[in-house]
Amino acid sequence: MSDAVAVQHPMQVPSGWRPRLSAGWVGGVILLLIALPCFLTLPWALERFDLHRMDEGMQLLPPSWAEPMGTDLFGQSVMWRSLMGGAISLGIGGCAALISVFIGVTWGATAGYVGGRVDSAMMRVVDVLYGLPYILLVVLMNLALRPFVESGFKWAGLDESAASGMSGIVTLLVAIGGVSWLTMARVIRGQVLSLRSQPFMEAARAVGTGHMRTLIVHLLPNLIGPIVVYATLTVPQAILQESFLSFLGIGVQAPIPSWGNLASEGLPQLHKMATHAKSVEWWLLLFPCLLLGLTLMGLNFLGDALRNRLDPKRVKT
Amino acid sequence: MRREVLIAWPIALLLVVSGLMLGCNGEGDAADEAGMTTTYGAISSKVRGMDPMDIGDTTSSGIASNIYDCLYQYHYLKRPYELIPNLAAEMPTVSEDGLTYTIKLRDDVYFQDDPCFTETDGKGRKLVADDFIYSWKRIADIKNISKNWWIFDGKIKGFDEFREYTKTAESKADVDYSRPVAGLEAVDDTTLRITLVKPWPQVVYYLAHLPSAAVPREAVEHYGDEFLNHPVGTGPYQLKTWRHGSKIVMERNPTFREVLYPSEGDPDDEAAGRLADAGKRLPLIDRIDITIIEESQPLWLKLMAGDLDIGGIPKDNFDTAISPTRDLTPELVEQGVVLEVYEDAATYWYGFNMEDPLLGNNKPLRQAMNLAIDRADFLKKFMNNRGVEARGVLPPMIAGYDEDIDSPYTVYDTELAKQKVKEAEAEYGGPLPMITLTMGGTDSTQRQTGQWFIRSYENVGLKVEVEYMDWPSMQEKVKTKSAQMYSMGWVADIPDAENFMQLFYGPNGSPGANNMNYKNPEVDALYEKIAVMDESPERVALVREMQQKVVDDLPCVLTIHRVVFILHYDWLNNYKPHVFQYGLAKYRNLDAELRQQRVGR
Repeated sequence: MSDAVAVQHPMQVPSGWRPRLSAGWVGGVILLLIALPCFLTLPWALERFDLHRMDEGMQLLPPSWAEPMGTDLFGQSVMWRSLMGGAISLGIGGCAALISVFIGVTWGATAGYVGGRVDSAMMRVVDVLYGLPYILLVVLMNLALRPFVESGFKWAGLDESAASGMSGIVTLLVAIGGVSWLTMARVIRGQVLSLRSQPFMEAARAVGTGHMRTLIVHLLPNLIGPIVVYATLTVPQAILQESFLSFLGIGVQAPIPSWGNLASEGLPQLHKMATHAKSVEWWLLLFPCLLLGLTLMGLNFLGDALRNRLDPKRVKT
Repeated sequence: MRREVLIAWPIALLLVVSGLMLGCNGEGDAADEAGMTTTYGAISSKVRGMDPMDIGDTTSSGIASNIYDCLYQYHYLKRPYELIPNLAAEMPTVSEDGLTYTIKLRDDVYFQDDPCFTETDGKGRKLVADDFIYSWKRIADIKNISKNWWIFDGKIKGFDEFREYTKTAESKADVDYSRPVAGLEAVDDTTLRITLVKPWPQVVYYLAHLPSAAVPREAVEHYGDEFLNHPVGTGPYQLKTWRHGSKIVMERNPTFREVLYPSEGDPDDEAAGRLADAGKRLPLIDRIDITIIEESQPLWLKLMAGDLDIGGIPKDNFDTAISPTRDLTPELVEQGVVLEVYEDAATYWYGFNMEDPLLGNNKPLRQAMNLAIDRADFLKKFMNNRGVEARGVLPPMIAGYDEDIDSPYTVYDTELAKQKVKEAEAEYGGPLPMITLTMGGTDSTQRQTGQWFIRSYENVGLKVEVEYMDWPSMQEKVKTKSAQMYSMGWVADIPDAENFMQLFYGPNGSPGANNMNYKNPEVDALYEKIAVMDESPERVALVREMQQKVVDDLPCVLTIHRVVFILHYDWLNNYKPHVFQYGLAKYRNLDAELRQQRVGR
C-alpha cells in the first residue's frame, strides 16, 4: 500500500497480520490487571473507608492475609488506599490527557489548516510555553483556578471538606492538561500541513466544503492515528506529573490518597533502610511505587505498540 | 571543522569551566579550613535573619548568639542557672528603690572588623554604652516592626514615649535616634544607666537575652535593609559565609576580647572532663560549619556518617539510637556517640488567633479542639515519647509549674469533644466552617502531623485543612495575624515564669510575643503584678492563678513539654546541656585527632 493510502485509512489492518504476544499486549494486560481493580473497587473503597479515621491498634502492621499490603501510621489499609490512590492518579492522568488532546488537536489543527501568519503566531506561543518550567505553570494554574473551582463545588452542594478535596483534584488535572498539549499541537500541525496539499483536500475545497466540515469530516479521521498514539503516551506523562507533584506535596493532598503522596509517605522508609533502622515499614513505599511503576510501564508499552501500528511514518509498504 | 563540533565545544568548555568553578569553590573552602579546627553541625529550619532587633526564634538566635554579645550571660557550667557579667564588667549596681540600674562596661570590647567602619579603615571600633541605647531604640522604633518590643514595653522611663514619637515620623529615615530617652543614659563610654518606670526584677535576665545585644550604628546605616544578612558583632565568631537555605560558616573573631573558660562548675563537671580547659582563652574552636538540612533523614545520615559532630534524633531513627531502656544502643556507643538528655524549658502548642471571628469568639470550639487531641498518642507517634503531656502553660522547671492544675479540657475525651462541638455549632449558629491549620515545616513528619490533626478533628466532627510552609514564612503569617491556627511553642528566654506569662499579656499582641492576640483584663492585671515581684511563694500563687485563667480560656491547643535527646561524638568536648543554649559554641572543644582517626576528617 502507498503512504498516501495509509495516511487516509490509518485503521486499515495490513494483510497477513496475526496477533502475537508483544510488549503492547503485555502492557495492555498489566494495565487491565491494575487499572481495572482500581476503578472497579472505587465504590467499595469510598464506602468502606473513612479516610479520616484512625484505627487504634492497627498501626503499621506488616502485610498479612488480612491486610495484604499492610497498614499505615494511622491504621489504614495500604491496599485500599493504593487502590483508591490508583483510581485518582489514573483518573487525573486520563482526564489530563483528554484535556491536552482536546487543546492540542484544536490548536495544532487550526494552526496547520489556516497557515501563514496565524500559524506562525500560534506556534510561537507553543515555543514560548515550551521554554517555561512546567511545574511552575502547573502550580500557578492550580493556585489561580482552585478558588473558583472550590466555589463551584460548594455552589453545587458539596460540603466544605469535599469541595476542598475535589477542587484540588480537578484543578490539578486541568493544570496538568493545560501544560501537556504542546507536543500534541506540534504533531497535529505537522500532520495537517502535510494533508493540506493532498488531492482529497483539493477536492473538498473545489466542491465548496466549509472550513469546519473540512476539518472535522475530512482532516480529523486522518489524524486519529497520531492522536491515539500521542494520547496514549500523554497519559503516563500526566500520571507521572501528578505523582511527582503529589510527592512534593503540591498535588493531591493527604488524606486523599494518590500514588505520589503515598510514595512520599513511604519515603522515610528508604532512609531507615539505608541507616539499618530496627523497624522498617517497607510496605509503605514498595506497594505504591510498584503499582505506579508497573502502570507507567504498561502504558508506555501500549503506547509504543500503538505507535508502531498506527504511526504513518512507521508503516512499511 | 564540522558545524556540530563548532557548536558543541563552547558548550562543553562552559560546562567544564562551571564544574571547575564549583570545584574551586569547594577547594577554596578547604584551603580556608586548613589549619583551623572546625566543628560541623546542622539546623533543620532556615535562619530568617541575624539582626537582634527582630530575632524571635531559637534557630536564628542559636546562630546569631555566637556573633553578638549581651551585657550578661549564664554561667556555662553552674546549675541552677546563674547570671555572670559578659560585656558588663560586673553585676549592676541597683538603687535602693530598685528602679535604677548602673552598669559598668568592660573597656576591652571591640566590634569585629568590617568595611562599615569607614573612619577606621575597616577596623572595628570600641563598644560604648551608647551602642546599647541605639540598639534598644531600634527595637522601640515602630518603623522597624520589631517583634521584641514586648521586652521593654512599659518598663523604662521615657521609652514608651520614644516609641510613640517614632509613630509620628513619616518614614524610617525621619526617626531621630539622637532624641533622648530619660531612662537610658550613657553616663560615659563605659557606664550605662537604666531608670525604670516600676520595679523589673527580671531586667538582668533580659540583658542576657539576645535581642538586647549591641549592634553598631555604622553597620546598620551602611548595610540598611541588608543588615539582617550582614551581622557585625562583638562576639567570639564572625560570619564568614551564609548561603541562604544551605550553609552558614562562622570563624573566630580575631579581635574578640580575652574571655577564659570557667574554672569551676558543678560537682560532676570535673569527673566529666568539663574542667580540662579551665583558664584557656575562648573560643576553643576556630570555625563553625552549619549546614541547613530541612529533612530529618539526610540530617541523620550525615550524623551517622560522622559528617556532623552533634545532632538530634529524628523520630524514624529513634529505635536505632535508643534502646527500650532509653539508653544509647551498643552500636552507637561503639561508634563513640554520647547521649545527652535533659528537660527543656519549653511548652508546645497549636495557637489560635484569638482575633479570628470563629476561634476567638467560640470557647466551646476551643475546648472541643483541645479535647479531641490524644496527647499520649501524639507523643508516641511523633516524638518517641520524648516529652510529657502539657496541661498548663509553664514547663516543669519554671517556678509556678502546677502538676495539679485544674485543666479539664486538656485531656483526651472524644465524647465530651463531640458535645462541645454541638455547643460550638449552637453558638456559631450553624455548621462550623473549615479551620485552617498552618504548619511551620514541609518535611514528612510535619505532613504526618498535619494528617493526624485532620483525622483527630474529623473524629469529633470538625473540619480542618492543613497548609504547609517553611518556618520563616509561617512566622511572617503569624506576625501579620493572618494565620487562623498554627504550630507554635515557647522556649524560655529566662528562667522565670514572667517569660511565659507575657505571651498572654494583651498589649503584647502581634507582632509582639502574644501572637495568639489573647486579651483578658484579669490576666493582664495579674501579669502586671507578677512582672514587678521578686520570686516568692506569693508570686508563685499569683502565677498559678494567672495560668489557671489562661487554661480556662484555652487560646491554644496545649500539647507537650519537651525532653531533649542530643547525640554528639566523643571528640566534641565540654558539651553540657544548657536550656539557654545561646552563644555556647565558644566553650566547646574538639579532639581533631580523634575525629581524624575515626572518620578521616
